[in-house]
Amino acid sequence: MTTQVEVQTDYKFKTDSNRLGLWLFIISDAFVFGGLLVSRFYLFAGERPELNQWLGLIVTFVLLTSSFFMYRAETDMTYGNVKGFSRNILVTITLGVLFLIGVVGLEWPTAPFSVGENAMSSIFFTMTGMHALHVLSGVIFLFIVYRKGKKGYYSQERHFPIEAAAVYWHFVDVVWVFFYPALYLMGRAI
Amino acid sequence: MEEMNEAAEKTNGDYKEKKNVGVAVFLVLIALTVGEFFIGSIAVDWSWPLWGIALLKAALIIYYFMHVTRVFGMSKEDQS
Repeated sequence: MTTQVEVQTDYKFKTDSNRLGLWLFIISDAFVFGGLLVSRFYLFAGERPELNQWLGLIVTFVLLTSSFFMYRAETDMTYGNVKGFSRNILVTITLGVLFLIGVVGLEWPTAPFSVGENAMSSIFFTMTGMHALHVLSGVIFLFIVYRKGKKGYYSQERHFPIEAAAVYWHFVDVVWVFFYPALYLMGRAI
Repeated sequence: MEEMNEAAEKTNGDYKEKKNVGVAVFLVLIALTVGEFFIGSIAVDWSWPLWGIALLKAALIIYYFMHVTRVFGMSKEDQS
């Protein structure tokens, strides 16, 4: 007969293994973004595209704020506050969608070049497109976790999927922390 | 009964402390972003401070928001 202690130990072991796998995935994904960042500086070391500075700053604020609300959502679930979790994760999802609208809906159409026009346009659309794809998958991931959380799938003790969604979301934020200055701030605008 | 009250108070205290840490980190991140925006606007050829700020912001997010110490079993939750 399986005791409560054995069940708890088994869950902890599984969570530790899952956590290690999650971080290995994050590190491997970071190499993809690192490669894009290196390509950007290899192609245009002292130059950058002429982009809307205020829009860049606003979308950066939006993503940082979404990370803050994701942190609150995870903390709420850790302390058993399911209502707080639901509220904060909804704000995170909304901010994620706003970020996508800002980059794909506003920045892309007003960029000073079209897709594939030159090397700079290619690297710009690849970097922002790859990142936007991660934001989109993050929003879907968060929505799944939100729905399951509402249905009572998670508890104060067992909520690894929420931790995984949070780590993934913060990782997307970390990527933008490097992409923002690389695309908007470093070098002379041409 | 007293022990239970003490435990509940401690949990509430931890909860508030964690939320306060989140607010503090968020405010620092915003301040650093404003700083890098002005550095980028004023000093066009000055990219090293921008790298420094980006690394600091990433370190704050990875440590406080992503709880990287959990991977090594070093966080408070793992020890309890």
